[in-house]
Amino acid sequence: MHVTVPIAYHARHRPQPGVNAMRRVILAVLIATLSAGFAVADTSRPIIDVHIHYSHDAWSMLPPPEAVKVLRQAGLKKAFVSSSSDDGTQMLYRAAPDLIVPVLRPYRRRGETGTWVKDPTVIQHVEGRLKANTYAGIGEFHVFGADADLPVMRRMVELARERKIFLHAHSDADAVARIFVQDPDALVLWAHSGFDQADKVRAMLAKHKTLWADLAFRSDHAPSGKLRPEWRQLFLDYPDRFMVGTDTFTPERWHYVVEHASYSRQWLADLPTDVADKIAFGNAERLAAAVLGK
Amino acid sequence: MPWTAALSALAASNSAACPGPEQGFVRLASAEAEIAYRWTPDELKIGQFFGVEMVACRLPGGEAVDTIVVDAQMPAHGHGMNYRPRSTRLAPDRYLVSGLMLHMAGHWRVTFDLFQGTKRTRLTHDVTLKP
Amino acid sequence: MKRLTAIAACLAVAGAAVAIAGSQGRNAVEPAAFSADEREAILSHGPWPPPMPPDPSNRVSGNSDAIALGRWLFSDKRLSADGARSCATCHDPAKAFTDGRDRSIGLVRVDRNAIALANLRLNRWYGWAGAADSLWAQSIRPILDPKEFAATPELVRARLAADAAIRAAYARVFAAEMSRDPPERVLVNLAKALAAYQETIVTARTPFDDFRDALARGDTATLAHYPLAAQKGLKIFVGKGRCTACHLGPNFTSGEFEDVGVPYFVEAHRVDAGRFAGIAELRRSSFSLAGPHNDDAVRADAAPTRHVEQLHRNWGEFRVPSLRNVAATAPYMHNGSLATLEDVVRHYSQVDEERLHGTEGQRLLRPLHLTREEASDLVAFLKTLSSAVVSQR
Repeated sequence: MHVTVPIAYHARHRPQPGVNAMRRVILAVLIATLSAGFAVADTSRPIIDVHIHYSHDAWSMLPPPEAVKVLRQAGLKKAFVSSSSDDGTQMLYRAAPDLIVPVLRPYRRRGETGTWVKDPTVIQHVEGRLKANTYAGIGEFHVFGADADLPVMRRMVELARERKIFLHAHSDADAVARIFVQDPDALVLWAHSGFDQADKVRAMLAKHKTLWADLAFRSDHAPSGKLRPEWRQLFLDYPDRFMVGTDTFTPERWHYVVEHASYSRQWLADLPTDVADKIAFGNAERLAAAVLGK
Repeated sequence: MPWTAALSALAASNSAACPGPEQGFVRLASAEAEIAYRWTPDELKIGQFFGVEMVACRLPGGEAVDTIVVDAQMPAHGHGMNYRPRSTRLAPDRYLVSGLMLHMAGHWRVTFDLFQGTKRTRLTHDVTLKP
Repeated sequence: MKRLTAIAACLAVAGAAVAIAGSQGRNAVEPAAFSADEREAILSHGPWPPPMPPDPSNRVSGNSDAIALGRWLFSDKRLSADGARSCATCHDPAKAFTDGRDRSIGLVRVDRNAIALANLRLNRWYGWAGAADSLWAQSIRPILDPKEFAATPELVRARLAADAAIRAAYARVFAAEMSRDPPERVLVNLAKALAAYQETIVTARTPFDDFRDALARGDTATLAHYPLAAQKGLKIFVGKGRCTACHLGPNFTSGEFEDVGVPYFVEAHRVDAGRFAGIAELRRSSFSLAGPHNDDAVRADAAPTRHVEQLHRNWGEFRVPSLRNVAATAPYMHNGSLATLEDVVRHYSQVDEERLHGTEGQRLLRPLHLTREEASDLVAFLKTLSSAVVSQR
């Protein structure tokens, strides 16, 4: 997997001052090709991006029509959107109901990331929104360790069970395990796969049959767009359990969605087509259809 | 001496093939595995590229290593390096890794992941760099 | 070894904390004291200047004829397509090699602030996004950039080879005839001369350096000359401000790239992707240290280029700038969006955590919530990193 070009190679192959321009151009192209990071990939593969936020500070810089345009430019089939506040998701959903899969973020503003789980008023807010609108899930929320057993989080698990929707958890493995203790049949989309190593993700997927993992904001599984062997094997062994996502945690990162889709297509091309399609869009499509009753 | 070095000293006795301090190597062991490593250059400094030569001395099941990945993170801040090290196999179970660079002062955890198929064994070395 | 000696000297001065202000005069109000850790951190910001050896990737680095040619080229408007601007237009020697604007004006208004040129041999990367891995490669970028000089290698060679003095200087430095060298080689060689000149731009010693060295040798009389407000600000800088996490070493920078919560929209529908784009440009460039123009046969300095990894977090990261001469290089940040040092300190005091990813662990960047006096002290310290003189060796 790791390729090292010995220093001596460069020394031997460095053109001498008399080399002609064409040779330099060819060498430059070769160098650019060999060292390209996120190169052009198969742009035809649809993507469902399951980790999009459209939070309050994005609304003015990127009004709903513009935001939808970005998602379509990226070749997205659908986007799972959760926002601080949820008004952002609702605006986008109204602008493109065919594209947007609404997910209810419990935060009324983004600053509640670290406080929401100890704030009982969140429950009323979430219950009210669930009554008023249709959602595929609750999240993305941040909860770690024993905080997953606090009353606010317990209520989120209950609400998801009652409505048969998923929980999008930015959590460590401990918190995910606690959610499954509360509801062994919970549907959990594990944000960033917990930023855990492949073997730990594997163990979690083996243990929890209704756990899916998104790969947002991580590239350790495919540095420079090339799959690492342990991750490749994990995707082959659990082809139905992974999804891709960008994580637009600032307004500027909306302009990264296109680039990110391109990166995803690049490493997905290392997988058999059926597996790549599942991770690119199939798994997300099936989850959305199941919870939205379509 | 870091605690990891002390731990490794306890477990070093059954690793005859392991290079030791006389060759500039430090032993690092867990219940499952043991490695020996030495930095190049031998002193780690903020902002300076370095490499590591690593020997896998004892492994789960006694099977050879397929590949190794050496990386470093700042656990307190949740970020890693800006550079990707690359490894070269010098001999069976012996690797040279280049391209590490720790760009901030503070506590870093250097991780040695040894892969035997999909099985990963991790050993870690903690280092605190002062500005 | 020098550093160890300095630390040893420092530790020999006194016990755990040393009252460093004098007992009389302007510092007599309330002496600040530094802990052993703080002293060690302070000492790590020197001595100044550090060694700046020639650039092995540039065979004319340190060559006096190349420096003279580079100095001439730096102000030569023939390098721009319209003949209206030179390097010195945006990097004005009279303005600490900046232009005082928020974003510079080339053929059009560009996206970024003109970064100050000084102490450049200490860089690992060049430009706000590190799109170049050598000073000579960086010197090519504005010449070819359609928004800046919009020139071509052919244009540059044709114009400058018509000048007998330049032609002669080129022959002296590069032992070649300019009009016979391929245009791209001429461009690279001229950039190497430009780099040789820019390497000579070194900031002078500052009041902070005198303080730091006095601390190292236990010279309490000299320590007393350092303003008390600056001492207090320094204590914040190396302490609760956590500024040294990124602004470290004698040049007050890690040389790397960070997202410090500064918005990076250029206009409504366009962002400056920063380091992410910088790495992409580096990989495309035929002028990188991995390419054919590196004069170092063993490519000893190419390790960063070989190993740099493009990461999602690079999107919107920008250079951690040196703080040397910072008081003379306003406005600040990659887009010049903060006009004064007071604005910069306010930014960090009230940094918008919502713009930063993740909640795991301890964030490096948190609002400092500085009092007005603390903010003022921090600015006072930053001002002592500047000197009126930028030497050109």
